[in-house]
Amino acid sequence: MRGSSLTLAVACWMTFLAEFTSPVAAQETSNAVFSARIAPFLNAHCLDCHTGDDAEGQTDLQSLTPDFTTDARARRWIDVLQNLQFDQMPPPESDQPDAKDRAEVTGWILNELNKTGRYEGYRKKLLAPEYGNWVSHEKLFSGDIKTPPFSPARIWRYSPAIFTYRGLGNAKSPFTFMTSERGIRDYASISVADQSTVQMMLIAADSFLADRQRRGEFDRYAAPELELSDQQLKDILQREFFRVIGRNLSEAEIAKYLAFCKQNISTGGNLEGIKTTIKAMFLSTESMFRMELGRGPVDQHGRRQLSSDEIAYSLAYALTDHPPERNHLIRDAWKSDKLKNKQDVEALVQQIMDQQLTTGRWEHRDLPRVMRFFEEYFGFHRAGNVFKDNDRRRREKINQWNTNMLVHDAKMLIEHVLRQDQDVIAELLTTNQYFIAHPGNNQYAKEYYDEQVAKMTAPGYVEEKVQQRREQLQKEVKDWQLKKDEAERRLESYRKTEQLRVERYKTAIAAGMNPHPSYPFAPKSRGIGDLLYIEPYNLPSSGSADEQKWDWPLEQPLAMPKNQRAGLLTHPAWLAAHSLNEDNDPIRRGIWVYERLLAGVLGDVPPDVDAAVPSDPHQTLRQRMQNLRDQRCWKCHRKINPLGETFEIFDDWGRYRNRIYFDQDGKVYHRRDGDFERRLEANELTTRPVDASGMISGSGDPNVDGPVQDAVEMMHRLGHSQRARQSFIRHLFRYLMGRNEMLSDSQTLIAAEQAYLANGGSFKALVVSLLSSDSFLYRR
Amino acid sequence: MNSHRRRFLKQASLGSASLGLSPLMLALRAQAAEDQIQLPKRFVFVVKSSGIDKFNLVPEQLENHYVDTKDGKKLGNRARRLGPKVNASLADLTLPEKLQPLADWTDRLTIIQSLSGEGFRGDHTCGFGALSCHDSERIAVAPTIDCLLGQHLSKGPYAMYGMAMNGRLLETGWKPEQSYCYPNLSAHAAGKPVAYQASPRKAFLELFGAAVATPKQLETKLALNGNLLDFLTEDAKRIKTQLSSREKERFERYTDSFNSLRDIEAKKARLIDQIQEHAPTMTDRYDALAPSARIESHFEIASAALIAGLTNVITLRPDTLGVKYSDLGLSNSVHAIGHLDTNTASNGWTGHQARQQIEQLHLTQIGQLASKLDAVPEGNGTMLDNTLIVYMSCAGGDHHGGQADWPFILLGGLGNKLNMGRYLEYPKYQETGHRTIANLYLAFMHAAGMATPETFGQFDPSLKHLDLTGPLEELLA
Repeated sequence: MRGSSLTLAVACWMTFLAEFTSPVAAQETSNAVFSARIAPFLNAHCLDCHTGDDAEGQTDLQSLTPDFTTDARARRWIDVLQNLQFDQMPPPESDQPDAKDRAEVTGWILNELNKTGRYEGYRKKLLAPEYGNWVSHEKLFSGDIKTPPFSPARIWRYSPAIFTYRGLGNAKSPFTFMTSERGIRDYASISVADQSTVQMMLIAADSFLADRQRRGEFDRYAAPELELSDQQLKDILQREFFRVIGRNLSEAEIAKYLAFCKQNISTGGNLEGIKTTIKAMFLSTESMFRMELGRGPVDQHGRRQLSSDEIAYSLAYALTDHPPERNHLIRDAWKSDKLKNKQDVEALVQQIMDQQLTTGRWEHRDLPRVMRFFEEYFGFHRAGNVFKDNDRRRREKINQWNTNMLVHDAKMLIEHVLRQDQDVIAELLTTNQYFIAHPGNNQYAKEYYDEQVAKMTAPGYVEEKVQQRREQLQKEVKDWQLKKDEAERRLESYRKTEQLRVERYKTAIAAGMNPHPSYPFAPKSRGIGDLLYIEPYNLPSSGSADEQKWDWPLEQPLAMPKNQRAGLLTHPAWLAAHSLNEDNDPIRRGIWVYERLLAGVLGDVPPDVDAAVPSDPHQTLRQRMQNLRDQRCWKCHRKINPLGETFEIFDDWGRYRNRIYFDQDGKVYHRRDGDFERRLEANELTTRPVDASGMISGSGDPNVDGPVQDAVEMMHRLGHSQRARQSFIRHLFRYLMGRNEMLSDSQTLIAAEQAYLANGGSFKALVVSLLSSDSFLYRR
Repeated sequence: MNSHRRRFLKQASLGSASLGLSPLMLALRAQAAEDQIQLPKRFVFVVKSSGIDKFNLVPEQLENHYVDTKDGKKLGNRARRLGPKVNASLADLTLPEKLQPLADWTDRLTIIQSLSGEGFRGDHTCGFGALSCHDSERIAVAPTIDCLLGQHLSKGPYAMYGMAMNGRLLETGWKPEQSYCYPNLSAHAAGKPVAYQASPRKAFLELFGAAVATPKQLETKLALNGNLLDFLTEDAKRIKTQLSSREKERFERYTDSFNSLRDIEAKKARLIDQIQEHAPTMTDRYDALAPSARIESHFEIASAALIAGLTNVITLRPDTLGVKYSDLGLSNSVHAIGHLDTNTASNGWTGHQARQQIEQLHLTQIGQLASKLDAVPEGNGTMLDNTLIVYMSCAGGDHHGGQADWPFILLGGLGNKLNMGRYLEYPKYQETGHRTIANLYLAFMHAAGMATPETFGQFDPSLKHLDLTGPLEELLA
């Protein structure tokens, strides 16, 4: 049984990766096929460079034998497989093998992996998000594949975010992601609940119950002599089950839990018996896993549709972190039996998108998973994860390194683009319309601004505030909490600060500027105190009591210089998130563009890669990275570096720059403080223009491929490209389906792209199309 | 345990009969033939963050290959000077200042330098790679050595128990965790990372809760747990029948955990007397926030857990990069200190001094743990003679990129299976005679009586010209 399903899996795999595989190969022995077909291929295309002790990349292929019996030997063949599958080898300047021959070799390797039981491990590896692009992009969008789409029937362990809203207070989530932090996290087939998960859930349940016991919630059951009737117990069970799982128990389930509860009561008394029963709810299958088994009707292709209940849960968890009861639109459709088919789902998702796409409190949107997609796709939310040294910050004149604010600004940009819902993908990748220190909502921004300006400029404002403070301090003095002279000192200091704040408002208004009104944390806005953090935008910063230096626009978005900023990838939040502790990170940036906009494939990183870029204070980062043009490295880095190096027009704080400074010893000069100004004036620094030139290749469009001057030009070229659009759609598919695409999802992806285009580049249309697709609704 | 080892050695001997046995194999066979009373063996791994400095681990009588000959300054990574293998007795040498907290145990102390662990990438840490020898910073792709040893050695409820300062690595500021966390260090198998307990109070209650409960309470608890696990097992069966074979495989990870939980409870119940006898006294320190207090509590619980037989392997994570040793007067985080070098920290120490002081804080606790174990008689010696404390870092020998020279400080013993009281320094990375941390772990496995494979973990292709099979011979007695 297992063998046959494996054979089938290999057959499918080989069909879509190596469709020209010869059927003869399967009939011949491994050795014979190796001698007759594989060895000649290697000889013709590989051995010239990869032979003997001085083989290129220390990869000697002459010593390869058709032996897959150990992991180490099989790994060498997997390396060959990857290089051939993704056209990494032979190098582009060499003669390329015929596609049929190439496919025959890859097919043979897969077959051999299967024969030695190593295929399953390889298959499992490909389930991870980082291998999503391994399915041929060209085939997915070719239109040649007519297979009716479906997702595998599956269990899906709950995400940490869903756990957070279970009402267990601050309990740490027992659910953790096994996926990489740099990408889409919640994948069904990679989610695991194991012993540590169960143990942690047990701990969470224990402390939850202990807290409730402390609060007296179980007091009425605590008396040992109290006999609880069946009806009383049933009521308790219904209430607790709803609290833990989020739905009511069926009659059969009530009977099961009742018997269990009675058994526990007879073992440990009322209190412990009931607590143990509640614990079982926490540890039950339904508390751990979402289930998408396809309990609806079966169609002519043998696919099972999700039942109405399953659709309600799947939609709720695709867009929110709550069960369906918590979203009134989903709940209403579900309860009124309008979740039965594709049309029902289309109508509901359209309604949700129209009414809730960017609504809700600032800290918890109605559809939290929408913004989470953009976070996981772009990765800008990780800006704060890259440590930047405070000394550097001071020397390089970043007055405040507030990555939270940069991330907030990026989110406002995204929400603005979503609200426009026109050419969303291109806009996100190319817009110079940014939000800076703004709550995102112009109406609210103006209301609060007007209120603050009126208050701050009213005569007697300072004295009124001082009086309020005086009364507060007098109370503290009276209560012996404060000495009188200390109270006076504090009051004076307070007065000065308020005077400075008023002064800032007045000076800004006199200079024709909008004083920044320090937005509070409120349901409509995330607190934004001042303009101290805005240096990464090449804007002059100021604190709340300092003279304001930048005319902060009350109505936003504002236009950033077009030659400096183009979309999210030139936003300081993204640049910081893709930087190193002390420098830019062209490699990670290049990988991002290559994988997420060009749908490119990079093989696994060789284990002996030494990622260190040599340090030489006399050279720019780009110069120091020249060693990656060594042939062994360049095999992969040729795909990455020409994309990532275009971002050298920014420093690692995200500031635009067009030149690099050197001191009198020829060392790169990073300081931007007073010393920099002094040396610049004294002509002690020399400069060189930044070289941020690069190259796009592999977009599939000759109008997009080619050299670029810098990241801004690259983003304008890529941002409007078909490849970037399709790549974005593939990632959104993965996020919503919780899995990598299969070739059989081709129709879903093509329909999604068409819906997007037919609606003027609408994100809403894209989500509606994907969530009502067969890939989402059918299981097999 | 012994039958495994003897079986392996017997097979190994038979297999190599016609080839002629290496001295090592002859020695192993001789050991296998010994009919000695087998005492339990234990390990304590203390895995700090940010690397352990190697230049100040060399006794003054020996040539220090980790400093510049001209100015005596610490050399950069991969820049250690060439030199032959060093295998010297610590009895003839002056213990480096940093190791003074362990001065009472020079005969049971071994310093190992210049083992490599390249190829396990990560951001300031090799994560799981440090103990599994795989390139797997954040995702467990293979079992780690502490878990493997624990699975083999532990007869108590926990194969291995971990305690950590917190699970975070790079966040600035320091926040004590309330409960379990994942420091990304230990894994029972691929995809089975081990959660560490960060709260000393909760660790106490979990391990020694029985010490503060009545027999009746314990009996009821055990029976209720039995009910619970029976119910969950039945409930899961109903779902399992509806799943495909691949989904079933994943689902079994969940259902298997019920048996493991049942097993833990049964074993704890059998150990009730020892738990009550050796439980530490819970004090306010168990809720303290200062790093040194938390570290002290973790070590205290660790020693009691070993003595009570709750586990034979404990891994401690005394700090992470965001931790600030405020009680040493340092407002810089461990990460910031890692970048200081000769610049000064908040209390005026240079970066090197601050790192040494932090390491000494850990070593002092290791010394106290050793004292406690040394006070418990076992066989002809003490528990310390059968317990190996391994002090190491998840980042090798430096704050960044120190994996070509990965220092280890070993204290204790494994029933005379290891050569203790030595300074062992291996030739530089890629030089003849160089060995890796995998060879050290193989030595641990061998000394613990496990069937020891030829290699452990991922192969380093840059060392393919060297024979890296087998345990570190110099370490084996």
